[in-house]
Amino acid sequence: MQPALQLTRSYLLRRVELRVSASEDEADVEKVLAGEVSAFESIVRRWQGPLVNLAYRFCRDRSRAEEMAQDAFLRAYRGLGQWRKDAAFSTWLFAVATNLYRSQLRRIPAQTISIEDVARVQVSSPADGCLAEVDRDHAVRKAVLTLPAKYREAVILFYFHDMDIAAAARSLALPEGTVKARLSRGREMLRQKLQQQFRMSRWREA
Amino acid sequence: MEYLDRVLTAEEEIVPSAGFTQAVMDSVRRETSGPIPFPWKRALPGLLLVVLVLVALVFVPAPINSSGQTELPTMQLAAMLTALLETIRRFYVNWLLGSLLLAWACVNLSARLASLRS
Repeated sequence: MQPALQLTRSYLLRRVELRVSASEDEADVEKVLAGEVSAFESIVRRWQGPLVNLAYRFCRDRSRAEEMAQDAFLRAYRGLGQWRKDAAFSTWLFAVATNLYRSQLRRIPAQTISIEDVARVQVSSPADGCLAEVDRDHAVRKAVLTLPAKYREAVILFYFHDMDIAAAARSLALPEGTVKARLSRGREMLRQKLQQQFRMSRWREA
Repeated sequence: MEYLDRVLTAEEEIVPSAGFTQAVMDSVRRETSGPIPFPWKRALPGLLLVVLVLVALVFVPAPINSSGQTELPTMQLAAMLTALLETIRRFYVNWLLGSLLLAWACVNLSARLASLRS
């Protein structure tokens, strides 16, 4: 299947899942607010994957991602009464989590690798093309963390939400135009850095 | 779709560890449990009894003494307070209350410190 077609299919599937879970979320939130704490478990089970994965994209550390997601669920539980129902529960939950992840990473930044390391990975094992490609892709993803915070956040949220600018803007609580501008600038910075470093590494190797 | 889009969209998803949900629910339950509430239902009969005794002491008709005069409730109360102070002095109740208060303060302080650390 072509990548673009695959992406569209997964996007549509996710949309359907979101619509189904929206009513379940609302019912569970009502129960929790009525004092049935165990109903929160269903919410955790439903959203643990997305929240841990979002945290992972912010820090690239599995155990830290789980800690951050746990804190996000706890914060969501404390503020459950603040969900106004004018937006989907998932939108509110992602906004809460994003806000928490941003502030946590401001306090203790994620361990990043330099752009030079990204380039080194790409030229290190030219004999095994497949392995080199996997390593390079992984290194490029880590390189997103080297971007300045505001561009990095826009890039992470945009790709996390399957390239949906509106969803990224809602999670960041920013206007769509601002996110679009930051995303464009962030991608451009990343592209330039990678191109420059790949060129320099090839030149050094030669 | 350009290279960056392809790489950053096709991110492999990580699966939360098996105990993740349980860990979250444990922290949520810790959050909701809080301090043990005072057992008002159990204490209420005792408190009512104390109030009734105090009211009775003040309003019940005073007995007539040997000289044929009724004793005023305030005089009765003063005599009772004197007796109470005497008992306190005799059985070192002040020291007992002081040590109980100190023990309560120690427990309270250590509980606060423990909650700060967690």
